[in-house]
Amino acid sequence: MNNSQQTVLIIDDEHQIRKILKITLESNGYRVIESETAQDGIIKTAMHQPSAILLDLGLPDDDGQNVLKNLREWYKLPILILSVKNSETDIIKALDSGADDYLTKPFNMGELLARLRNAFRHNHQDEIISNFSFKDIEVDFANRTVKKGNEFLKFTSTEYSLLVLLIQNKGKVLTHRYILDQVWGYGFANETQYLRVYIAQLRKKIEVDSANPEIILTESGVGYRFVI
Amino acid sequence: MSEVITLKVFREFKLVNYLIALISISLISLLCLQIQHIIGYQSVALILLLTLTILPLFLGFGPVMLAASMSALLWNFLFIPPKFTLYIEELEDFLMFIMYFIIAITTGVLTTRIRENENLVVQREKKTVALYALTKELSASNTLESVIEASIRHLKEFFNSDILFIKLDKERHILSSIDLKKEYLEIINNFFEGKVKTNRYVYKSEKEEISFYPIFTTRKILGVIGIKLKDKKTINLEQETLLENFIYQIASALEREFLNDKAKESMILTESDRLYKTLFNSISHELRTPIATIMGATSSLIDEKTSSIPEVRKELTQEIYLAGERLNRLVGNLLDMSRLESGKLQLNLDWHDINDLISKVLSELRKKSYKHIIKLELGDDLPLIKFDFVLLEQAVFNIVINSLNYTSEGSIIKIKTYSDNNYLFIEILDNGSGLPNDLVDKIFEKFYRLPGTKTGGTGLGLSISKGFVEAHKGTIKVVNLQNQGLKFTISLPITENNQDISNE
Repeated sequence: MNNSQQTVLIIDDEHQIRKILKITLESNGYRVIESETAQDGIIKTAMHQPSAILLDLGLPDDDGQNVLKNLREWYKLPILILSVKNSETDIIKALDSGADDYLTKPFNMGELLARLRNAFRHNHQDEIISNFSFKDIEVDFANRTVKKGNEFLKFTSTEYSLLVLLIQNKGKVLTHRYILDQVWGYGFANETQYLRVYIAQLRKKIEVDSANPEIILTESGVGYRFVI
Repeated sequence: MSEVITLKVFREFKLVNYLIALISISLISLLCLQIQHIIGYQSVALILLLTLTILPLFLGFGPVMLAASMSALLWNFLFIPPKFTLYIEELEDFLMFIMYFIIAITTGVLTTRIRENENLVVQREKKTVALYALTKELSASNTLESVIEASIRHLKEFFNSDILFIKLDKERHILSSIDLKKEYLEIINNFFEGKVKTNRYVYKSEKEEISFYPIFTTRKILGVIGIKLKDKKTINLEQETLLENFIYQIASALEREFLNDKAKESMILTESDRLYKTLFNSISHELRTPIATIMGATSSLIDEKTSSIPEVRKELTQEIYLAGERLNRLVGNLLDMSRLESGKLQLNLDWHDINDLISKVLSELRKKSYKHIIKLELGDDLPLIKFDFVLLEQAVFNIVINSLNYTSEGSIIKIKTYSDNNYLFIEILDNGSGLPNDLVDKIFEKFYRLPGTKTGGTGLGLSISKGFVEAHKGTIKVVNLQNQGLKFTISLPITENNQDISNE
């Protein structure tokens, strides 16, 4: 993928934030367009068809959530949410409404670039993979097996489904609700106890030190992220 | 009180008493008739006199006088020779008769008086005891509410009545075992507005009678008490005096409490001022320092000569980043503190794994904790409980970073999680220098900083931890460890709603 062809639209009312994002993105090969308001953001999206959008939730003229909903009706490329700390409920709402990922101020530029790249990757994925390896673990999707080193690990069907979901969405944050919905099904959206237990079990099986998880990371108050 | 009533009952049914007087004298006389041949007619007088000393125990003045006169006449008639006549033959008998009569009357009068005085003393004592009990309880009460409650209780009990109490001040206090009616409120308002200036106002209707008494202090009217005697009685003069005493005591106690409250308010204001000043100074300093670093470092970087050296550039930018982190943490603490103070902290509760929380906190502190040794003893199969992950993460973070900052490089920080039937525990231990014993509890106070610590830090972190933990109805404690160091213990309740499904 040629970065220089990718345009990122920043919709944020703070000049300083836009500036710092622009400097980083441009020095990493992206082209940057800026917008200060929700309305202008939507117009610019339609006009310029950016490859990705960084959308601030705290816009002056409209709720970022509304902008997101609007965009998602016709814009299918990556949207990353920019928000402040202690707004987990807003972040979850945005993710469940179709945002790909989020960043909290103050931003970590490394995280920003990584999440942006990840979002692109997921968006353009059309290859079919039959297996996936990370660290010393090998997952065979066709045979539904998980091997650690030379040993086959015992996985319950739920644990396996959970692992596969995480792998399929690697690098991307998944909300509790989304995971429960995908793995356990409709009606389990509020049964977070199950999720906690299974994540703990999964960590025990695939992490080197389950007390210091490096693969399945907790996004406080939001969800989980599978990172390789 | 009931004895007084009993006696009064006797006194009121006068006819009965007189009859009793007559009958008892007659009976005794008849008895004496039977035995007079043994004891002689003079001794009969003594027996009759004895009866006269006993009768005043049960009868009032009138009946006793009747008994006295009757007994004299009966003695004359039945016993003094010639018997069965009122005529007395012998002079000595006549003299005896006169003496008897005088003694009988005198005895009657005296014993009746003694009895009455005794009753008065008993009554007075009861009043004194009641007043004393009220005063004692009032002086022991240390809130407005307890003064009012004690007053009402004593009034109710002693006067056997229903009480209506209205206090007028910032909060209108109305306590009543009587149904409020419009008419009452009108009377009460008249008192408050000064339209009625008497000490008592009686409201009489067909069904009831209520006496209203204003409670005055030196400055103004504090409230109104309405008293409705049970059994539809009227308050008599005796009760009135006592009531006035009661109300005077109540007024004093109320005034005392008002003044107490005012004193407390002013103390709070002073304390508030002090906190404000501390906060202001602390924050100014805390803000200025990282800003100074940022501006200093960036102005150096603007200079081309300095920024061309990679090591210098790296070091300066690192300083800028750290200063930014510090500012970010300060802002976070200030916001957390505001949320706690506003009382509007909303908990985003969901089921969570406490070990996950600890792992998350440690991963956030990885860069700061590499110079320390971190040991984990995380319990297996701990029950899930409902809590706000972000808030408790901050609470634990603040404690751990506190331990990191106040212990030296290479020291050990241990974090344990465990549970019992009712609570989930998080322990954070360090092997630093601990705290002086008397200061141990103070570290959770807002802005408290250990005397002698280097500047930096607002003293908010631990009070935020306490606030967040307590918002979950949990507790947080700190103790000095025997071998030096501090142990923080957070306990979170496992309520009935939390089910242990870790074994499912």
